[in-house]
Amino acid sequence: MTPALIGFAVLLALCFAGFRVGFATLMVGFVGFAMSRGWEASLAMVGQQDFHDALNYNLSVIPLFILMGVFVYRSDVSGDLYDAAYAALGHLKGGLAQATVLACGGFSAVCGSTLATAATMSKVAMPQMKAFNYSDRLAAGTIAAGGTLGIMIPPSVPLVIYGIIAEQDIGQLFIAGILPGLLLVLLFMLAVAVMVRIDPKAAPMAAPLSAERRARARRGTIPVLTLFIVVLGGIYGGVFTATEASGIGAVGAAVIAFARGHLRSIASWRLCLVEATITTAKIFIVLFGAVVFSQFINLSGMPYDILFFVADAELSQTELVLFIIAIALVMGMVFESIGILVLLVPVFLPALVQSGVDMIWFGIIVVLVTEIGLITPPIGMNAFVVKSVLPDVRLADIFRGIVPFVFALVAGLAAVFMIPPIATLLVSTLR
Amino acid sequence: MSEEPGAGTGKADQGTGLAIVIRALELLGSVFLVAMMLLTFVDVIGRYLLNQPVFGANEMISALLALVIFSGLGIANARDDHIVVELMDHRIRQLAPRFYAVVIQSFSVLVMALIAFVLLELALEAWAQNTLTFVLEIPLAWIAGSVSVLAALSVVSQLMGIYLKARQASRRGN
Repeated sequence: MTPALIGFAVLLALCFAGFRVGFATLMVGFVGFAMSRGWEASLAMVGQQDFHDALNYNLSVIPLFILMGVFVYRSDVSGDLYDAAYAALGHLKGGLAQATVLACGGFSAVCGSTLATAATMSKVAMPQMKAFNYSDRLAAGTIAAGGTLGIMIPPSVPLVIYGIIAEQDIGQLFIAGILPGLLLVLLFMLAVAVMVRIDPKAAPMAAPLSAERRARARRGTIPVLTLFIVVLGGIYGGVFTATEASGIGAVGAAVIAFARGHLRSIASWRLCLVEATITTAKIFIVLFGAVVFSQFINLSGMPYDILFFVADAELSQTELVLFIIAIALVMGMVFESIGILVLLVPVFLPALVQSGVDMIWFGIIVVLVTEIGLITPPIGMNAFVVKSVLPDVRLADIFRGIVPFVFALVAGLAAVFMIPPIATLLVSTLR
Repeated sequence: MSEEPGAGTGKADQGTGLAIVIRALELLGSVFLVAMMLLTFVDVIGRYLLNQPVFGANEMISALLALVIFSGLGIANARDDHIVVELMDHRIRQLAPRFYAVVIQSFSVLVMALIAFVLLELALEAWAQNTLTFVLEIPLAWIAGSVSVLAALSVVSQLMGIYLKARQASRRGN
């Protein structure tokens, strides 16, 4: 176990020092493996692992869902989604913030990127809330937190990566993410209601949406909702696999973007395709590093030492998962979701499987934990994204506005932890 | 944890040689990705509506995935557009900015060169053993070879990107 601990320490030091996460992980894994098996074996392992992953058919969901998200992002559908939510909830107290949560959920369901959702909604929802004198704290906090919904509501890249590492069915993971995603939307709306109740001045009543905007919102929202239903309904109904759904989703999103007047020049196609290609590469270099590193960790025997430790300490399933949640929460202060998944899951995988933990449920739990890291300091990426789009809003106000949503996320985590069917119910109807 | 600031802005692409390499990689990556999307779509439609899936679609999609990844890596490397933990790096950078940049970038180049090297070895091995893919019986050496060439190209683009940034920094210094 000592080599693995040294490996983790070196990796953390390199990451903190600013070395690129993917490259650092790969190098530590390569050197660590070579230390016990020799350089030749380590070179062969890196080649086999990375080439195997690069040619993994199941992983093609990543670029295709990313592409779907980029097409949706570029189709300017976010405004219509927001207006549709505004039409439904605008008459409530704090209705515009409620609408923001709903629109974030809807947009992230087809976009899949938390950062893109936060950035887009900053542009779409903030001017509306500002116009009705919403407080910066409530408005910006809602947007930053709402963006995190994308990580749970399928299609979600972190769930794909978890599925690959834990060898779980990606389609089942997507289906498992639906109810927790909806629960989080409800909890976020509850958080807004509580905030407005405590400070009614933070959210003055908004004027009703004009009939023209309502009609336009309806027209714009229907195709996106249809795409979401086709993609997830297809997986749920067993019509197609997650990989096939990603192809359908990408083509469907391209058609929607085209129908809305986008993707009508080579330049706009190029913009979307290059963006998706680069994002894919950035995710895969981290994955390549992770698979090499996990080979080193496996060779060191650490996962089995943990397995024996769990058996010796007679840790129950609950205690084991709580222990892992605690580690993931700490890691969430530094690492983004993919980093946490690739470093944490392989180490505990044998112990989790041996303890009989439902790995689909655990996937939802661990992704939920990484979601908390997206809005909590010191990193809290979503808060910084909102700040970069809205430079006039103070970062301190964004983080203060986020606090109620952190409680909502923790409540959601506790609910899924204590009531596993929230994650597994829909999956069990699949089986 | 985030992308490097300024990443993806394409500012590092101003050098002519690098601009050509990046444009070529962008074109390749885009073509591969569109092909992947259309192939997946046609395969699904063919399978479920016409009962006629595309023969060997999975293998072609897998190969296209590898090509998309390594085309994208060339662009990401040239712009140093990678995931970074931004917590203490700026403090360390302040101590000796140039030395810091040399160490970080050399490390990235070293790892990328390692990947290119092992992929090339894999391609040569597949060539020597005449390994074929299971369904379409395409020589694996072609796929591994193409991927290793793209990986090597991404090392070149990485080095060109570093050179360009260093030149721009020294001009600013002057």
